[in-house]
Amino acid sequence: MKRLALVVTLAIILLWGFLVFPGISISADAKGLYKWYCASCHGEEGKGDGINSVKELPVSPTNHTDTAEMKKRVAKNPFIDTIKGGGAAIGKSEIMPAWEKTLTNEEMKALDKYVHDLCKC
Amino acid sequence: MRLCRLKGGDFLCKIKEGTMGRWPIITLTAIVFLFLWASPSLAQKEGEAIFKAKDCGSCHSISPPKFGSIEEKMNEKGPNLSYAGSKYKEEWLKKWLAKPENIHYTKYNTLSLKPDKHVAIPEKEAGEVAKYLSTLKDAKVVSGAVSSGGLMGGEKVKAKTLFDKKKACYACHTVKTTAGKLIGGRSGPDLSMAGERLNGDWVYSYLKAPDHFEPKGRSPVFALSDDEAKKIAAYVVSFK
Repeated sequence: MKRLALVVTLAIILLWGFLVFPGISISADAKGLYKWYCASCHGEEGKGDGINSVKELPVSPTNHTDTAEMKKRVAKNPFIDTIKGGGAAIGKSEIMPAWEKTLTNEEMKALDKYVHDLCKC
Repeated sequence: MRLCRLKGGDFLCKIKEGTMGRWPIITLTAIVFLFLWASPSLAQKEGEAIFKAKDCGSCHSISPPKFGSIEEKMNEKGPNLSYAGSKYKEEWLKKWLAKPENIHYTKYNTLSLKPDKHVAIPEKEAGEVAKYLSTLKDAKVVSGAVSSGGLMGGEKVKAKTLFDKKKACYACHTVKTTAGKLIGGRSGPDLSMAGERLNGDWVYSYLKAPDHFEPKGRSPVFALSDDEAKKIAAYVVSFK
């Protein structure tokens, strides 16, 4: 009986954890993905100031924390389209590469969510 | 004159009694020939021993790359050398090991712009290690894919368009302009002198299957056509 109560208690705690922090595991993965694949251009905090953000490039990497600009962009094209097909897919610079051959769908969805979190939009 | 005994019977030796005739010369020639024949493999063995003694393996794996996690990639300290003989030119390896200059602007596989300085080794040892590394080949590298003649005219323009615009390689890799100015991103290895360092066939094979050489690498998989990959590879190795 005691064992059953313990199992039920643990299950409730786990369920509570998932309800209160639904994105906790995906965010952790997304942060690593962002750091590895995106931060070299967009910066670790998403401000568009990564180490590849050099003046010789014809366009600067997008500042993902610029809520107003990002809202305008996402109204035209979902972020996932840009992640999948790169800048060329949405009529923007080809410097932003397409990631659909590199990342899995789950990874791209996680990054899409992470960018939405960064821009608060 | 004396009689010399052989299996087939006796015959007269043409050498005088008390002298050894041509045998010392023949023996010496054979020794020299054997030494010259064996010396490259001796150098390789020496190189392998130096590689182990200097613990190069603590930063450079010589086992084929595994498909690990991003976290594992971030913890790597230096490039995988299991295909060094396919990737690098031996002469470049020899010079670079004796006098290394940073190829990466960052600490390996991080975003820190404070790269570690590679240890230098004496010239003779560098030559032996280069010889050893040159034996580490990858069967997936397509031999003869990229001609050594380079690109001419329109082909070069197409390659430049692919490199600069269509695939925007210089967004991550530094290159040199015709005026000699270094431009481009800093997250990937410097390509301004890539032709001194890399074999065109390896560049082509890498572009066709980056995951084979660097699973979970930062460089996007572009799914290039054969023609595109050959053009970009030939263009990259023209940088000198």
